[in-house]
Amino acid sequence: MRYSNSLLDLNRSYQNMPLNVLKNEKGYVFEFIVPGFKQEELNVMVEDRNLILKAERANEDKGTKQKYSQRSFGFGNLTKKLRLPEHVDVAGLSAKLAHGILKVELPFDSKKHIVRTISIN
Amino acid sequence: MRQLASINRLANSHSLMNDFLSEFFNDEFKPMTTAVRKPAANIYQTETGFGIDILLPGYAKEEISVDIDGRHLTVKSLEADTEKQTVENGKYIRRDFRKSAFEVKYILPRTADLEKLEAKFENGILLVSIPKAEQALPKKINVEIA
Repeated sequence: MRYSNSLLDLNRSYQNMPLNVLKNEKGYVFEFIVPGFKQEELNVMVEDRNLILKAERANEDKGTKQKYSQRSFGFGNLTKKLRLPEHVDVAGLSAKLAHGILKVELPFDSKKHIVRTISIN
Repeated sequence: MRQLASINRLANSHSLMNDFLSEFFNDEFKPMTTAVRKPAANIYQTETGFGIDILLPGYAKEEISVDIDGRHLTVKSLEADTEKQTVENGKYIRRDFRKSAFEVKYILPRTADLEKLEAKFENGILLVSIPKAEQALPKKINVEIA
């Protein structure tokens, strides 16, 4: 299936952060996978109809040297940018972090989100 | 490949590192093959102990079990069917990630003090730390010059 919707595959360069997008009656739910980040290290903003998530780790100096024998994930900073469709209410944005997943809820704009059923003659 | 190359480079530069690598790449810390998903993990050692950080976003600590049997460490998901996730009446239009059952096993080094193993779950990462046994810690002896 091919989606032309701008919520999907937007910015190829930001593909490194896994993302789930769920659509329900109220709007969209984005699930950003950000293990290891604390709430204060995450920043969600909307700029020119782009939803931007910035995850920046506060400098943590553990003081001990670690020698890795296996390294499957890093602790770098992450950015994700998504273009939002016209029919969402940006003012209604809410976000919640639980167990390394940031859930961002974005309701539809009831004036612009029109669902219509067309009868077939 | 890049990782291997850098490991080799490190190994050549340091004989201690060689000991470390041979210790780790024989059987110790080598995950045993299992049928279910194996989560991403970082394994490292410091001067005083060993650490395994396992990436488990979306899990609550009640859904994870950590067991030790001899020198075998097993970390797995408790729920038999994690696929039955509450999808809040809607549908996924993009899904890069889903929670699924996992299991991973490691053989811990002989120098690890298994009695003192600790596990902590923080923001979707399980942090397992095992201190080295006292006799394995580096000893510093000051030799007086006569």
